[in-house]
Amino acid sequence: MVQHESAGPAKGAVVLAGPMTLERSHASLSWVRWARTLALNGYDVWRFDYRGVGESTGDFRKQTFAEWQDDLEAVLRVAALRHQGRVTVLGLRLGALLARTAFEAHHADALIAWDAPVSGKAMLMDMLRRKLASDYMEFAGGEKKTRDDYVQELERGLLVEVEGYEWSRALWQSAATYAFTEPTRLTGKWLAVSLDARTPPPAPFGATARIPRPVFWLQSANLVADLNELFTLTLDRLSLWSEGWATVKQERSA
Amino acid sequence: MSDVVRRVDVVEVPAGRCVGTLHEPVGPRARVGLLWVNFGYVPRDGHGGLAAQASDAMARRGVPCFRYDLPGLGDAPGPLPAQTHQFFPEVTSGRFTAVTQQLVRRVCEREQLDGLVIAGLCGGAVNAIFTADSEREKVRGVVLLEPEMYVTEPRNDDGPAVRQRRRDKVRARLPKFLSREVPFERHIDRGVGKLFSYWGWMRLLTLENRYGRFVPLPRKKILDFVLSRSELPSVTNVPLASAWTRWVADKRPSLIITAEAKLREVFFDRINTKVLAGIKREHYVHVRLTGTNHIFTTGGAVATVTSHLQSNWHLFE
Repeated sequence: MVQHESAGPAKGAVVLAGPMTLERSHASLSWVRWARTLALNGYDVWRFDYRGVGESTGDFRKQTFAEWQDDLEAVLRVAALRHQGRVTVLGLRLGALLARTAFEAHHADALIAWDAPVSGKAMLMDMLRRKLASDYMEFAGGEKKTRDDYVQELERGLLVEVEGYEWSRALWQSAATYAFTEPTRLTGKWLAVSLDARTPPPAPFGATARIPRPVFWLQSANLVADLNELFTLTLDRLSLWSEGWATVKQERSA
Repeated sequence: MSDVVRRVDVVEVPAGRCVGTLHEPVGPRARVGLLWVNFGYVPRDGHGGLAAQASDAMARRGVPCFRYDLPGLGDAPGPLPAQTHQFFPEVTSGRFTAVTQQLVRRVCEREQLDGLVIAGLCGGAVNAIFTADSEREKVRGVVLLEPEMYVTEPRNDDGPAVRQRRRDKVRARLPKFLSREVPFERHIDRGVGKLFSYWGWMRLLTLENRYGRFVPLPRKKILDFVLSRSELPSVTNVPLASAWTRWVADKRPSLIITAEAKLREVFFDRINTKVLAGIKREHYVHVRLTGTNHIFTTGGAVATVTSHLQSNWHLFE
């Protein structure tokens, strides 16, 4: 876990829940830059790696969405120690799914989702599609498999290597309970930012931002991608929420 | 939980700040450690967590392992060019040599190690060779995964807009009846551009192009023809090849792992044929992996590379 301390008095905390595996590797430079940007704009920021991925220890083959949910919630608890009532969870891809669940369970006070997949299974199927493309390149003479073949292998309990990581049946099945539907909490402090052509939820809960293609979590053609529109939109919303938090805090202290 | 303890580490050297992870050795501590440097622009765990997994495995054998993000990459602050095609020429010309050399010295001094073996993939392997050549005392060996021995493929700056302007210019000189756009003109233009692209053909012949599998070509024969065995390929990174030659000629230990018949391996072999001619390769092991890609994320390569590293570690002891 890495903490980026705010420059000056902190307006609140932001916990970043990132994408998984190869998406994490590609997103890394932009993700770190975003954390530094948030800190420069007055937020204490925490980012971390899920168990079995990146800098975190653990055997990837034993991980599930539930384990990673626990990881996120543990980091949220750390952030809440310093910023009770002013913690935003911001997730990208897998992180958006986990963040939504954490927000609904009252582990965070606000939620921002960047490019939330429709569901956990849909996200994994997307990754399997990329695996097929990779198979197609590497195993010219080999047996041709489909995504359904891989799904069946997972269901049978076999390990399937996807982008360098071995997926297990437990991981595959754990994704089934995750979907990005509109949160039911009535705080109103949530925002889903669509970064592709999908229609976001209606304002003020949804927004669209244009980012360079290919997107920064799929390829690294742009090491310093121009994400100003996304950053500005998100900072504006955080700023709006943190003004409200400042008012509540003043009322409490009065 | 993993039995290997990982510790976050920050090393300040004159060339910048490196942020890394130390894998504490289990049991008696070896006098020579393993240092992983960034695989190109990728954070220090490597694609598929290769560097992290291999470090855990080696730490279990008592080898202290270190993985650092060099300035600008991963967690380490520092400037970076905006685009990848601007970054790789810097790497292949030794952008990280000075900082890695300083890092090696600092880590050896602080950890009281006799030396370090430097490991990296692609641009990381380039960095390993340059650093090894410039720091003979402390670098005890190199682990080169998919070393890129040629100067980075130049980007074709003739984007669609440039090509369109060029066509417009030609058209302006033609009689009116010839100046209308031909159907599929843009596609033809792009196809012709690819037809005469050296790198396009190299990718096709080494199956790094998605259409390569459909081309019934005697790939080996064409590669033999295109890359003469008697001459250094024109795209050779000469300073890198020189550093590599000195290293091998001095009988310094090297473990090389490449993806069989892929672009990097083809060039590595051809360049070696020329620059290492007459040099006896001692303490030198080259492993070729089948059924994997350049970044080792298919065919179980993460485990295979780790296993080869373990079984060949005696080279460095």
